[in-house]
Amino acid sequence: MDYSDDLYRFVLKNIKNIDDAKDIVQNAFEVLWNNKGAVEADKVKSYLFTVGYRKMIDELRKKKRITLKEEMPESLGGSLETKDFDLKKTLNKALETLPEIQKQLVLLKDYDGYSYDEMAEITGLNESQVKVYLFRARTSLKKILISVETTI
Amino acid sequence: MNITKNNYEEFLIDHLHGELNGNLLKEMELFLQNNPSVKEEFELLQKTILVPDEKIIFQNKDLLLKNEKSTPLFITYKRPISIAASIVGIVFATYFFTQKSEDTTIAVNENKKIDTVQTIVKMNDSIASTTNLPITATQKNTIVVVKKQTKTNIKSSNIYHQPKKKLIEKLEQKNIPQPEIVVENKEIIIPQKETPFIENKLKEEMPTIIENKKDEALVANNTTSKGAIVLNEKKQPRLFQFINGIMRTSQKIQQKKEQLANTEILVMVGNKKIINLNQN
Repeated sequence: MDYSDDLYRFVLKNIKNIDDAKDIVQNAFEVLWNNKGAVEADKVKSYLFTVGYRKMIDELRKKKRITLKEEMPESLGGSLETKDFDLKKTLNKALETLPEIQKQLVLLKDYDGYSYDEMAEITGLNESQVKVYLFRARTSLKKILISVETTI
Repeated sequence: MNITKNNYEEFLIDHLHGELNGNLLKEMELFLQNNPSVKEEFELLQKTILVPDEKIIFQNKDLLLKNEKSTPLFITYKRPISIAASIVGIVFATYFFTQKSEDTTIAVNENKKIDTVQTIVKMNDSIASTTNLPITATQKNTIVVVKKQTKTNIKSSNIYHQPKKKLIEKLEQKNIPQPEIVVENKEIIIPQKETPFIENKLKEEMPTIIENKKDEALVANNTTSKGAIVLNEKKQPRLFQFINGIMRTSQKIQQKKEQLANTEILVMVGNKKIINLNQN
């Protein structure tokens, strides 16, 4: 049942709506329950994430909160003020500037430690795409950290 | 494979993600040893790793449990519920599961007043998170629950054993005492008798101010003849904002309680009223 916390954190961080995140977690468990005979014990977590991820993407698309095309991160503008400097806060703000797919992959990696091939399975991308998106994401985050550290 | 200054970046990110092994891993470790500037870059990359907030948890784990012997319609409730509430729940479930599975979305004014609905949804989020109720929208004095007609949503709708009275009780528990503090445009006046309240709040939530009294101490010379402390927005900005925040939260909770006391709780699908829970 601890998987519910992991999935909830991941979904909530992306969808930013408590009710929607709860619904998605419940839906994932519902689907797991209905297919329990077909899911191997050691694959339960990634199965939940796969179902949850797809449902989350559907919800996000419905609400037109995202476009899945790759976009260049926008400048942080005045949002990162010196007085706000704190690594965690800075990173969270920086994360929001990433294109949605990059953000989702970073969270899958950092929050849940998924490997490239597992992330490919969950997101429906291929491994090379996962690798490229994560490379771009880390490079962007690194640049933001450098720029913030330089301004201090 | 030779890792060089021209091709190291890709491998560095793979190393960060724990995707290197065998000879490649050894090669990368050696490369980092021999290139301090790349090692620095790697250390910076390590700082970009996000740490999940362990305080965020899925609170309704009992909703994820199922009784193997029962039909998937009902979840095993771990909490005791009254017989009456169970009957209401059964009526709900029967009604919803005999319906088509079309998405009925928010039950108020649909697209016409979307801004208003969104504002109200935002306002209700805090009540919903306090009570775990699936409140999704309100119209005037009506709280509308159950926005979608899906099995998942119906099962999460524990409204039938947490009606309005319980909701108010939850808000009561969240009550913040309203100190007699005067918030004016640019000044806050704290009567002497309220200073322990403020000091306790500060100890709880902003201990750094207590430790670091240099910019805005409560014991400063800014007291009136009656011993009240006067805070100025410009001179003590952090303390000013902090106390202003306490007062505003306190007022908001009070307003919510008053609003809720006059609120009718309905469960609706589309424009059709299903049940009125006001008398519970």
